[in-house]
This record gives sequence, C-alpha cells and structure tokens, in this order.
Amino acid sequence: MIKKSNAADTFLESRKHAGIAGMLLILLLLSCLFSLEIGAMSIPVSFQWQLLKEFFLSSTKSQADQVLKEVLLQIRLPRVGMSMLIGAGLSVCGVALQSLFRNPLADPSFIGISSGASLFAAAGILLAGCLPSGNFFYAWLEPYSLSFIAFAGAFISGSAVYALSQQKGQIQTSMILLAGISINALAGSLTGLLIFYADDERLRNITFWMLGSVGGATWPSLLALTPFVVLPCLLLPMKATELNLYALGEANARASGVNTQRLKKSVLLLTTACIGACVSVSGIIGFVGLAVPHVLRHVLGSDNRWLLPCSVVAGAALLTFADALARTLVVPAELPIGIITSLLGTPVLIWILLKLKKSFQPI
Amino acid sequence: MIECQSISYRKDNKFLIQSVSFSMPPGSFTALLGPNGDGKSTVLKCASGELNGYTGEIYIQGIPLPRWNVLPLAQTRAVLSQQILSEVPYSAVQVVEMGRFAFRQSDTKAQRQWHIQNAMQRADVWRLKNRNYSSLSGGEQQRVQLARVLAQLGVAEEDLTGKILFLDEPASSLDLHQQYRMVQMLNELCQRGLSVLAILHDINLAMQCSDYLLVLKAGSVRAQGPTSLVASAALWEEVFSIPGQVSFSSIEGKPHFVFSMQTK
Repeated sequence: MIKKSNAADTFLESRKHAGIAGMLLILLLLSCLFSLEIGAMSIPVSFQWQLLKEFFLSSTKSQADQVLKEVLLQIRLPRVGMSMLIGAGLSVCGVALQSLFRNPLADPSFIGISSGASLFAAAGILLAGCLPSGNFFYAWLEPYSLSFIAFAGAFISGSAVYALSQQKGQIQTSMILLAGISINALAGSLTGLLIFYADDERLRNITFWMLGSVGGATWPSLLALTPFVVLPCLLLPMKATELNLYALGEANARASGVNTQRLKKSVLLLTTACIGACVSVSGIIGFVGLAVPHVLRHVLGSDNRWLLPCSVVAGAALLTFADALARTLVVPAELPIGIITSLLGTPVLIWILLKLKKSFQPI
Repeated sequence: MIECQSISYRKDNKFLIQSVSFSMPPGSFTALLGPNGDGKSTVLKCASGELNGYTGEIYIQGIPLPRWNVLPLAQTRAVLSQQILSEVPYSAVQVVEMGRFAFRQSDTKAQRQWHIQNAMQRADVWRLKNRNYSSLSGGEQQRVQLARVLAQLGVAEEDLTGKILFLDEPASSLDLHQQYRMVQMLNELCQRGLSVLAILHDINLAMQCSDYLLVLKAGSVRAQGPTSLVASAALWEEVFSIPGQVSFSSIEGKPHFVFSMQTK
C-alpha cells in the first residue's frame, strides 16, 4: 500500500476495493460498446441491442440490416473479443510475474517469451512462399501458420529459460531473470540478422507484426486463444495469497508454508502459455503488462487477491479501447495497437511516478 | 522436540559446520552463540529446513526432516530470519496475517483475528497495525516480523508443546526495553511448551534467558549444555578472544559476563 493510512479499516478498505472493481467492470462494458460501435462503419448501440434481442428471442423475421449484421458478427465481435482476451492475459501475467520476481520491472517480455515468438515470426515471414503448399492441412492452417510458428518460438524460448534457470531440480528465481535476459538478447540479435536479409516488403511485414495488431481476429483464432487466456485468468487469482507471501522473500514464504517450487512452476507455465498464445496471434503489444499493474497497484494497494482479478478486467478494458482508437484514428489506415497502448499508458505511468517520487516503493 | 545428529554442511569443499549435534526438548530455550561467520546461521537454516544438502540426521517430532512437507512443517515451526525486509508493500497487520497462511484452511475468520491480535500485542506492535510496513523503523519492522512468526505458531493457544521457534538475531535492532520484553515473552511461551532456538550476540542476554547454550567456534561445537554449567569466563575469553570475568548476579543468581578493557 502506498498511502500512509491510519484509518484503513479492513471493512472500509474492501468496500473501497469492491467499488473500484465495479467501476472497472463498467469501464470494460463501455469500452466494449464503444469499440463495437465505431469503425469504418458505425454500428449504433441501439442496433447492437436490437440484434441481441433478436438473438435471444430468436425471432425469424429479421429487420436488421444484413451488412451491418455481418460486419458486427464477423469482424467487430471477434476483434473485440480478441482484444479483451489479450489485454486481460497480458496484464494478469504482468501482475503475477512482478509478484513472483519481487521486481516492478518484470513484464511479459521479461522472461524471453515474446522475443522468441518474434524471432520465429520474423523467420516465418521471411520464408513465406518458400514452403511447400497445396497440402490439405496447409490450406486449412495457412491463415494461421504465422501464429503457429510464433507460438512454437514462444514455447521453445520459454522452455530454454525454464531449463537454464534450473539448478539441481530447483528453479532459481534470480536465474530466471538472467536466463530471460540472455534469451532475449540471443533472439533479438538473430531477429536483427533476419531483418538485415529481408527485402523491403518483408521488412515492413516484420515491423508491423512486432508493433502488434488484433486485426487478424477471426472466430477460429479467438476460440484457439480462449483456453490459453481464460485458464490463467482463473487460476492465477487462486494463487493470490501465495504470491502475496512472496513479498517476504522466497525463503520466508517457504518457511510460512508456501510450496515455492510448485508455485514457481505453475506461475511460469501459466504465464508462458498465456503470453506465448497472445503474442502469437497479435504480435508484441507492449506496455499493457507493465502499465496496468502499476496503475492498479496505485489505487488498490499490493494485495494480489484484488490486484489479479482487477487486472483481468482493466487489461481487457484498456486493450479494447486502444484497439478502437487504433482502427479509427488514421482511417482508412490502421495504427499498430502497441503504439496506442504505449501512448496511453506512458503518461499515466509517468504521472504516478512523479506523484510517488518521494515514497515510491517497488513491489 | 527437535534432534540434530552430527550435522555438517559443506560449501565449495569448505565445512561451514562440522558434526554439530544437539537436541531441544519441549519448553527449552537454547541460545546459539559464536563469532561472526562461524556457522550459527547455517546450523539454524539446516535445522529449520531452509538448507538441504547437509549430512547427518535431523528429526522433528521423531520424523526425519526431509520427510516433512512444506505445509505441516510450517504448522509446526516458525523461522524469523536475520535479514529484516524493509520493502514490503503491505500494512503491518497484513504482514502478520501472512503468518497464518499455513492455517488458512482450518482458521475461522474470528480465530485468525484472535491469533493476529494476540501475536501483535505480544510483540508490542498492535498500535502500529494500520501503518504501512515500509514506513516503520528498523526495530518496529523486526517486531512486526516477530509478530508474524508468533502468529504462525498460534501463541494465543494455551498449549504450545511440540511447536518450535527459530530466531536469527531477533534482538539486533531492538532497544533495551524491547529486548527485555521479548525475552520475557519468549520465556513465558517456553513455559507453555514452546522450544526456542535463538542466535544471540549479547552474551548477557543469552545467559539471562536461556536454559541451554550451544557455542560454536569455526563451525564446530565449542561448548554445549545447561547455561549455568557451561557459562564461564574462560569459555567467553576463548571464543570471543576478550578478557573478562563471569560473576553471578545477586538478583536471580544468573551468570553475567563483564569484559575488561585492559589488554593482557
């Protein structure tokens, strides 16, 4: 907790926190409606409501404009769903990793996963067209092949970090950081090498992939992403109390009854799967996993029992809103969403840092 | 009840401790003394289960230490480590509440409150309960951590037989009044069956409050046994290389050591 409170009655405190959680939920709803509404074609909320009514009352005589309906169902909805999932996943992983490492700078790119995914994606873009095609599976998977390649990269680099940080069967927390940094550096330099050999068009594709976008959202890709994000969003909050004890240091947490090896393994596994899946469908969307946890910590305190579930909602709201901006600010083009999240997130974070300059506490 | 049989711990081919054996019966207060870097913390860490890779046998309640799972062990013993964390982003009462982690399945809300309040009152930090931990002074932080391990042991309960408390320099940041309060409180808990192993630097504090002494020098046991039998000027002179004398206090008949400034 950041403020020096003397009147912090536990009951009042949790009422305040519940109020904030409620506000976040309303914010999420508003940004969903906003994001569904605006775009190249405006779909008013009244139309969305009408469609929803039709869906549930299953009235056969559809009055709705078919084009608007198609846009809403096939383009807007999966896209909003995708940005909600990715925002929620990245920020909940950010909170969990920061608590686990007791390091306020830990974010999803920290443990080498995103850079591994980037490397493989860059290789995939560079080699596109060189691969044999025509086979049935290939035709079916083709639109998603880049996601599969990136996920493989995330998986490989995540496993490499995991293997490097093990010592006598135990995961050393400090080793995870060092292993993450080395894998990041290795993947970064190899990606640089690929960029060096890429022609202009592919260079542009690689750069855009790295800046992140949820433009590729379709129902199948949304469905594929769902378990990777929903499971961590449900399971990580169940580890909240254990993660709170990590603030006392690993040895003290263990002496207090936390099975630290099991906790580290499950948090690493859940975050690796979640971040890997998010990055592979959307590219790298920076800053969500860093800014959302810090802003929430400022208003909620450091209790993970509130922080983890609230970060799910806040991350979803932020990314949905950011995506709405990304595809409307420079119509008909589309801004990479990573630029929006950084532009939105940085001023807030700097404002908080300035406010806390004197009493700033890392995790 | 804890029993250590000739435990040794080696790091980089150097013995940090070598064949240390001792046992702590229920209700006993054992003070662990010795010069800096001579293995006190290593003994404590081995016995409390933090370090593995030692040789020798350690039994808690007759069961070998490696066979204890993390959770039941945390319900049996608590450890106050030497390093006092200064950056913990929680309030004092939230830090103490963490001590009840091992009992979160069995505690009712009222029980948890009862344990937290009792432990905080014993450590004299109840009035600091809503303060931000990081804003407390070093001594206050140390007492909040003490309250946390007391809450873990459930010292509000009457019978503490079988519970073990490991303290690594618990008095290092405490003023004289708080040191006095702490050893008083620990002695009272020992009478209710708690076993305490405490690393202390103040020989006189150790001789005042302990039932047994365990004195280490260069990783080996230099002396051990009941305090009144073991404590002697010759021992302290040898272990800490300072001249002085032990006399017995006229108040309670307990030994105390006075060193002399004259070099021999």
